[in-house]
Amino acid sequence: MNTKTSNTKAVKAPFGGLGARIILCTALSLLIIQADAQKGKAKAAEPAQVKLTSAALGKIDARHIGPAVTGGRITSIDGVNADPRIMYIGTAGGGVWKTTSGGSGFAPVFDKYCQSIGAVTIDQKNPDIIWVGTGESNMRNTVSVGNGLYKSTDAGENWVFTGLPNSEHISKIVIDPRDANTVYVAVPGKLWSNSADRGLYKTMDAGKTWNKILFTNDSTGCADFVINPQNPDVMYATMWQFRRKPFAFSSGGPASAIMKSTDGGKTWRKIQKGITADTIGRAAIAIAPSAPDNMVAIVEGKNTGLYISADGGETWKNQTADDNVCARPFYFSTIVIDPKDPKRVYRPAFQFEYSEDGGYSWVGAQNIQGWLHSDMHALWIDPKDNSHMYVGTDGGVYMSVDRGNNWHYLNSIPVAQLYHVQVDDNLPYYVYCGLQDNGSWRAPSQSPGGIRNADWKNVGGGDGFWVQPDGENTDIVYSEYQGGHIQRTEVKANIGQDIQPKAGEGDPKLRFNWNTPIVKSPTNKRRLYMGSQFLYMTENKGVKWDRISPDLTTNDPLKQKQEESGGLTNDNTSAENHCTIFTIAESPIDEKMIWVGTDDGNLQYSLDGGKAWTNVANNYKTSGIPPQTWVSSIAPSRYDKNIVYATFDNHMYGDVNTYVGKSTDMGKTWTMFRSLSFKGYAHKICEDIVSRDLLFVGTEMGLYTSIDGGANWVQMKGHIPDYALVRDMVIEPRTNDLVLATHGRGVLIVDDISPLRRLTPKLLNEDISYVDARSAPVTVGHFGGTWPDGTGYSGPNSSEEVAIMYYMKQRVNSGEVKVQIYDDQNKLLVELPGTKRKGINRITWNMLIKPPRLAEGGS
Amino acid sequence: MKGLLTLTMLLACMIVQAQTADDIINKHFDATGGKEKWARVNTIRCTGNYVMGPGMLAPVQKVETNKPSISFYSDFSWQGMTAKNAMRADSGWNYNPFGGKRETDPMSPNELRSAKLDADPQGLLFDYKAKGYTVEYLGTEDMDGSDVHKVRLTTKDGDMMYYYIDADTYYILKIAKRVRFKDKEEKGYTTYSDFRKTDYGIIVPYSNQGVDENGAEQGGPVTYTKVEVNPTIEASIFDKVVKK
Repeated sequence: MNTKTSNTKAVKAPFGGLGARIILCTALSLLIIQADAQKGKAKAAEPAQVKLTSAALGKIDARHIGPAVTGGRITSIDGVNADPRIMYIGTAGGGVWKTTSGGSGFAPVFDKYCQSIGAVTIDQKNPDIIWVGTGESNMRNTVSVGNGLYKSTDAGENWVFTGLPNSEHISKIVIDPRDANTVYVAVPGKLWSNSADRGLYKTMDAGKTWNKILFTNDSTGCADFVINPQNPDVMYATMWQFRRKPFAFSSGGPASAIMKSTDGGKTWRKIQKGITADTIGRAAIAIAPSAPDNMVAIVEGKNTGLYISADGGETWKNQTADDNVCARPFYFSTIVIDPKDPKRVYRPAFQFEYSEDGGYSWVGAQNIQGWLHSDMHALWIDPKDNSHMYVGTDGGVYMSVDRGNNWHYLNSIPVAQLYHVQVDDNLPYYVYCGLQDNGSWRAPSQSPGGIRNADWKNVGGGDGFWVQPDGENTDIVYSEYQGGHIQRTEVKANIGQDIQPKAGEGDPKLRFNWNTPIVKSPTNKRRLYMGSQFLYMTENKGVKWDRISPDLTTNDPLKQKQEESGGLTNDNTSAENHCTIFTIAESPIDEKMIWVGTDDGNLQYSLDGGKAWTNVANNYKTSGIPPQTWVSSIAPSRYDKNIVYATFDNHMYGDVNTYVGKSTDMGKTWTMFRSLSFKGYAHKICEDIVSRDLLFVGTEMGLYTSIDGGANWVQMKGHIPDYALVRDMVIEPRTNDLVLATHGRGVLIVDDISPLRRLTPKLLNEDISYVDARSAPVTVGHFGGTWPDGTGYSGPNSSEEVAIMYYMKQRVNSGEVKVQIYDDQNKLLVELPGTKRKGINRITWNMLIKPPRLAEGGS
Repeated sequence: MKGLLTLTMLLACMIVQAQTADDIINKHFDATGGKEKWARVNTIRCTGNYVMGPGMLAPVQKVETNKPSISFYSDFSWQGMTAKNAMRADSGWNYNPFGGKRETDPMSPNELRSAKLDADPQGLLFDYKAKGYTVEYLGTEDMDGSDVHKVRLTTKDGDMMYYYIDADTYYILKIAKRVRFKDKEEKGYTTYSDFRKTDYGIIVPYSNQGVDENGAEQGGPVTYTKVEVNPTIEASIFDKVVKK
């Protein structure tokens, strides 16, 4: 049996008393979808054209395949003091996850809201009340933005927006232990622009109204905040002057300060007696809950230092400490004192260290069983059993039961932060991805029993970005770490070789982006491109690179002072490298036509394989797309050489609007796609490989599609978080799967987008209509894999049963929907219950017919 | 004058907010037969099939009653055998012969607490205050393409039922059940469809389907061919099953 319908005819019988009846004939089968429905209840056919909506996409949904073999950045952890099995985990780009089992399993509870989380705080008097501040405050180059504060009153089932919509980044939420209606929120505020929304906020009516109780200026926000639990009118805040530009970071300035209030925030004074630095940057502070005059602080300065106070912050004593304790203060802003022992201090930073003498001396975690991921941002200690704790790292959550000496990785939270994704031509195809601070990986898109952690194979280290399988041999993989350090890996042999293009004698210094493009040719399996300020091409696996362009950037020297970047703390990791090539695309229909976009606004093409270049930057500006913005992706059309699409990302200039453009004259003139559906700055546009009118756009806040060439857009929400950070995508041509790279939820696969190609205006106006999906071979299942991990994450496979899809204009509330399958002799084979939702419905058939009469059991 | 206007608007807002949850619930009962009819419902018996697979229909029956106390009975038949669950007041039983066992197992306290939430023939929303529940309106959202009002009902035990009520018809399209035991939390999701008027005059769903939290179907649907309101019930069906 086969439901392939390449020669299908659809005939619609009158829609009346018997309901809609659609007959679809194929060479081998006859399908009838019958809606014995709407009897007297159906709305009359509407004369107006039905517009595509998110709801109409129905069961076009995604599966989340991980990885969770390594995690993503964790930004906040809070547990229920009275029942520490219940915890909430805030992540940098994957929303909020909840466990009710102390970490044996987790579930996402924030999928309809912004996925970048800065702070999670439980009301310990009523632990059903949870506060979440969106927008993490670890202000690295790739940090996302938030959109305010949310609150749940039913332990994470439902959330209500509770204010501070323009905060963009929230670092702390603290509840007054005397009165849960009094809540303080620390807002560092916008990273890329001035903002009057920074500062420390206070509500006394559970979030109905907010007062800004501490504000310095529009470039200085509140980085940290603690209160004295024994006298909650006493409180401490650190104010931080900071700013990022696309090519530089500045931490610290004269407005930075450590402040204290003793009257609940009415009045404040600076408390820096003993702080040796005149000008400070980000400061992290901690108070000993059991002896609150004891405090510790890490204060950024020209010489960042650890400070100890025994008098409630009135005076501070500088204490020598190792590099880890004082490391990278803009990024490592967590220091915690044990809830019971005022001398036990924890400093999760590059490494995990603790002090047993109030901060005078420090030792590292023991880690007998191996490894604790570096780069830490959150720590929660069980107040009833202070040997039991959880730390959040750039690679996920770990648990300790011995006061932080040894750690157990909780491998069931799939919040990996992908930059890019690719697929190969195996079957099942493999997915390749590069992860923020977690290397490069590949895994099969299908695996017996599900795609488990053990299915993921590491193919590159460092921070991972672009990954490309070799076009001729998929056991050879090209990956990179930050700053264009490309490596060719022979996966089976576990051999890696540096193949980065180098500057020749007399050449200028090469400038590689943090996220350097490594792009395969769509026309030549041997060809690979990568870019510094120059474009390179190889056709011999990177043994030799040909430089095929001049400097394609603006080469603005004012944007190339990365050695001076960081502010008080020099921080030059390639994250601010600028005037570089950021995106490369060869035309699918002309191998000589190459497009290049840069991080400083240039958009250039060559029609002769790189000999001559035309810059169209001045052209797109006239369509409303800002100048100098990052060209985040380019898609030369596969249907017409004159058509090109591009996305533009201007958020590093404080502009988070969605910029997506199209040119039909090879870049001379541009039209900007506009839609009220769009939100978030744009990362990727993708043209369908079959339908020229079907487009996809990924932004920092969602996945969008158009079925009419970009005139109208709707968000795709089928099991895709509403604010998913969609950084890249690719269509696998044999399965028609849309494979997404999310910066916080790992790889998402929308199985079989081919039904979207059938969504015509005519079909949308049908009451019910069959929608052709991909054919499915008969299988007998698969054996193999391994035993279930127990606690590890397992991503689902796509169903191997044949999918039957149909569209309904309205939900069926009265009557049944039945799908009857006939053979080519018009004999009824089987009848299946149909689903009844509005839009595209999807059921599966196991390709078995009704069994013969079964014998009675029993005795 | 301005102050008076502001106060008036404030009061109007408060009234709207205060009424919203009850308003939605009242509209639901108005749309499904009216409160007067629902007030007289004390027993519902549903008879139909569980669709196990293509062409495989397993007869099922369900009885819910509140007279004299909340009680529940259900059965499932296949290959000549019948599994049964029954609950009366504070005790309940499971009888499952499919593994060869012919003895009845008692329901655990957790099962019993969960089963009670499903046993009210009027539904928990009807006369919820008198039954000791509280409700809260959570606003509107999209449910599989339909705009729905979301209402949360909370029991004295802290268990929660979330009702997704169609904004057009005011039928309940989905119930999410969240039972929080001492050592674990259990969630269940059921969608409802095929709404028909019974002979008695109330409108009830003749079809339901278990789904997961993302709306994916879990197993087949249950479709009823007959729904009887206030039928005469043999009280013994709620008793412990001794043997088939």
